Amino acid sequence: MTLPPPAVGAAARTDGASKVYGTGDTQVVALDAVDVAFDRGRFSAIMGPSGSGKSTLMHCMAGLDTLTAGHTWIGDVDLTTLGERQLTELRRDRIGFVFQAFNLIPTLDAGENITLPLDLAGRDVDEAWLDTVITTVGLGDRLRHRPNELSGGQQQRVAVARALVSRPEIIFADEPTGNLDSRSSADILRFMRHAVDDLAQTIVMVTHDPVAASHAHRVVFLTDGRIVDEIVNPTAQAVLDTMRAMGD
Amino acid sequence: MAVVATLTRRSLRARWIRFLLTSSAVVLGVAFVVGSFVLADTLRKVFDSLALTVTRDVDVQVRTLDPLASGTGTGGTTDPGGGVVPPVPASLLDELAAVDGVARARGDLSAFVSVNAPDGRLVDPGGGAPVVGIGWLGPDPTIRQALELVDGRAPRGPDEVAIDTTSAKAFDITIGDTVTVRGVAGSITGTVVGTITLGDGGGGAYYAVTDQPTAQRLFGLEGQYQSITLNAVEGVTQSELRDRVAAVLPARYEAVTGQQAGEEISESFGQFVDVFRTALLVFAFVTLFVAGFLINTVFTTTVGQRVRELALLRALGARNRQVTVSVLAESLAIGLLAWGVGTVAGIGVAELIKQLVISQGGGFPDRPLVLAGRTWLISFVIGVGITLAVSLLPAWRAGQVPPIAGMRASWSPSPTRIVRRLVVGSLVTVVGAVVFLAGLFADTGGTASRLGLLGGGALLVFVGVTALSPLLARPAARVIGWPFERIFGASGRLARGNAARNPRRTASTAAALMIGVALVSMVGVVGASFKASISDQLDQGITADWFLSSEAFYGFSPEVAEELAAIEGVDRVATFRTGIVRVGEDTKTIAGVQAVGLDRIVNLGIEEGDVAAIPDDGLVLHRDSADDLGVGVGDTVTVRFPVGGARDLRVVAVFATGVGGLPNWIVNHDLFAVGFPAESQADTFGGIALEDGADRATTAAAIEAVVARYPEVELQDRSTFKANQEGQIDSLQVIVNGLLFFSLVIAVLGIAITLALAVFERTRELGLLRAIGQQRRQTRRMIRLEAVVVALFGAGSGVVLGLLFGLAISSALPRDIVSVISVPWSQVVGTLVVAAVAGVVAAILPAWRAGRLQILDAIAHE
Repeated sequence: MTLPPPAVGAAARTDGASKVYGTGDTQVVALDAVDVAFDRGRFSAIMGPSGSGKSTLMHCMAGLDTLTAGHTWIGDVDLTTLGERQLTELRRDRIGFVFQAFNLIPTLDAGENITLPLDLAGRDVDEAWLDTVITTVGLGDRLRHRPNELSGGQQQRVAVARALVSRPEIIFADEPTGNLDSRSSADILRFMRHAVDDLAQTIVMVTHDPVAASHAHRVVFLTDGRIVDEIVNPTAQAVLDTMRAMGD
Repeated sequence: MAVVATLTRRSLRARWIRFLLTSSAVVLGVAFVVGSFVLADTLRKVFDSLALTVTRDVDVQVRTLDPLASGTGTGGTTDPGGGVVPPVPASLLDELAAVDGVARARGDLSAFVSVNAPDGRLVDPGGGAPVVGIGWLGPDPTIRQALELVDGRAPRGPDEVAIDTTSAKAFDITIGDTVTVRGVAGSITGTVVGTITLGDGGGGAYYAVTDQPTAQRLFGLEGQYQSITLNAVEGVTQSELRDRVAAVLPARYEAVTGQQAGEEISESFGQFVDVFRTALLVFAFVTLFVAGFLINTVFTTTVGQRVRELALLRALGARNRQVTVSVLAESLAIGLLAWGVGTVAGIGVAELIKQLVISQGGGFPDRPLVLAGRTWLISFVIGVGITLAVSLLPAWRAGQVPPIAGMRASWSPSPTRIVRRLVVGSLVTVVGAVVFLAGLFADTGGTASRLGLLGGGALLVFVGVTALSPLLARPAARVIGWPFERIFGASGRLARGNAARNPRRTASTAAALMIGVALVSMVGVVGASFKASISDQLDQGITADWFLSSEAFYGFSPEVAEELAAIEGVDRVATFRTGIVRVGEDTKTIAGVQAVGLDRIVNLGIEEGDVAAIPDDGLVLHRDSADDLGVGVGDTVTVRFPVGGARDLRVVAVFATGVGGLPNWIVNHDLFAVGFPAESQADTFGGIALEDGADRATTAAAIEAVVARYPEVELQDRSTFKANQEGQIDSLQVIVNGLLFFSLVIAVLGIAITLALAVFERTRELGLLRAIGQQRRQTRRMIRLEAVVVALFGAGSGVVLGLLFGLAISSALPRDIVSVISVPWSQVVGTLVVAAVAGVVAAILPAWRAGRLQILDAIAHE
């Protein structure tokens, strides 16, 4: 089965991305000259065992951390040329985030958490879009609740809604289903796929769960800081087999 | 930035207990400052109003120029001699009454007296306030007078007295009772014929009023007045009259307007009030300093704990500035609350003190407290300003948290490099020590600058040592914790490790306690040295068997010494009285003593010459004074006296051992009698030596019989005197420690708060300990022991610092005040014990909460 062609231009890509910690004997190479590109309008997954560097890759591509060598772009903006302030603005205006845990500010309610990036930027909220997003994630009756009054799945849905509301160019999700039961996981993954297919978003997800990866359009595999394989239109089984092969 | 405001508000509300506790530290400091200003301003107002009252019937005042003033000064200010002003002759009164524009002229007579109630008790206003005797012409409906007759009539003749209503009430004296009034030159026993009042409560003093001839006799001013008050006729202003009078005045007198006379009185009161306020503010400042430390520690710790939340905000696009502002906004809220509550509390405390003084019989009028706009402003600046200032660094650090900090569990704020801390800390400490020592030993030319150097130097030393203390904290915690590990086993080992693990937090928690303890120890060393010196001087320097001192404000009559000297069994009596003279450009305090017998009472350590018989032109100098002038025995020194001007005196002896209270310049009584006016001729201190071989008990009885007739004289034997002196120092120490009490309270509060924060931070670890088998009791003990280790570290370093400061100060004090340096070891040990107990107290609540943690919730805690 072939995919419809991606929107023009990669949403995010790297060229020779390297990240090295420490010096001398204690040196750790987290990323080793990685070249990868993620298409617009697609749901992509980065998979790998612990210590493969997948989180590091995502952090660097998202402007949360800096490369020690190489370049990374969001659209046609080279992050390695940006200063601290510009990176912050980039994150605020053009990138959305969903983390594995501690996604929400505990003293704000769900509604305030959703609009937080816009409030930080001082931008007005597009009410119609906000309603769409809230309806999509199904949180209409929980907007005034604090995070400690929501279940794990509900918290993640708030985080997804937040990521969508500012209409970013790309959303990075770091193990978004890591702390959830299978039903909540399935819900979240369906939302994210729906956002890509019907709401024209771009999502890059880091995961170690083959079932989660199977929701994506494409999976790239990372081991010891290098891309070693990729699958288009993955099934959970295919992903599992590839992971097992990597382990040998 | 609305979202920043929302975040701040929510954060404060979520942690409102901590918010209140941190705020309360600053509240104490602000209250102290506000209370000091309010009390001082109110006192000032009372005295100003008193000055106005006392001079409201004065249009022009004529008096003798201060003979010790050096020139007329520039810009209209005279350099005051500081001494007493000679009286004016009564004949001047008639001359002035004849000046055109003078409606009436009256002589002024007032001096300190002592009064005995009918039951023999000394009428004493308490609090160091005097009893003022006034020679009064009686009520006069044509002029507004300071004195008002309340009941009865004005006294006439040598057997009649009027007293003020406050003392009458306090001592149960009514019209018809008999009282004794004793002045410096005589005494009367008279009937109370009336009661008077002076202004609005009289400023705390009592008053005894007689007619003018009687007053002149009492004060030794026959044919004289202290000054002359003139009232102008209708239409002539004060300055006009002053000019007219000045035109006819001989050169040695001066005329000033009533307004100026009032201002002079206000000014001298004002100086006293300023000193009082400065002393209070010093302690207030210490309290604020300690509070500042506490706030800084709390903010640093809480920022450290909120790293994940801050990192998330940064990840979502919050700028550094937005995060910093939100932390500062929390700090601002704390400061504002502290400002509001602190100001109100300060006013409340001032009111409380005022009511206390009034209830104790002090003549304080029940007028509302003065709350100047300036006081509100100052309390705002310190309350809000200090809170913001100490949270600047933690707020900036919060803004520097990178988004990655939320994702990587191992991230922690980079600690200041050890070398940099060592260098900066040592530098600041050394600079501070140098400044402090300069304040002690250098010639700074003024008390204000000296105090400034001392205070600034001490501050820098505290800051420097605090910066260095994390380097000390780890090894110190291990040492201090060692015995606990021995005694309490696993709990002790864990406590020891916990305190050593985060040296920055241990050090900053302990810092507040260190400062408070350092000050208390410093005072302790100085006080102990004082007492040891007195003891030493008494044992070696003073050979008297009994001591005479004065309970009255002005001293006791020279008759006392004469009568005592005549008693069989008394070998010698030496008393002295003091006054101020001018030598060249400087003023000196000079003492007048008996010509013969000084060496039998005091061992002065004569180096040159002798004091067996001091001639009438003889001068005895302390070694330091002689060296300053470059003179020795046989040389001449010109000394200017208030009466009779300059005289050439011959140095007859130089002595080395100062005795506390005895001035460095000594002449004999006869010279003193002619060199100073009558009101200075009162003895302030004396000693009696028993004749060799005389019977002590009999002589003592005879002495007591004489003294009984002079209630203002207090007689003490050697041991009572010594105990009395030591007791005074102890009282002073108690007051100082009381004022430092608030700082100590804040310090202990600080330990409690940071311990609570630490418990919260280590929730998972505590849960783990409980899961693997630590009992609740053991958990609580572990927390308590950790608090004790921290408290002992703080108190220990405080004791060391305080001893160093105290030793430095004791060495710098002149040797006639402190000649022996003594360390109060028992107080040191006591302080450490109290600190340990304080640690236990501070840990009560945090330990209880730690013990109550639910295991599974704790382990799952983020």
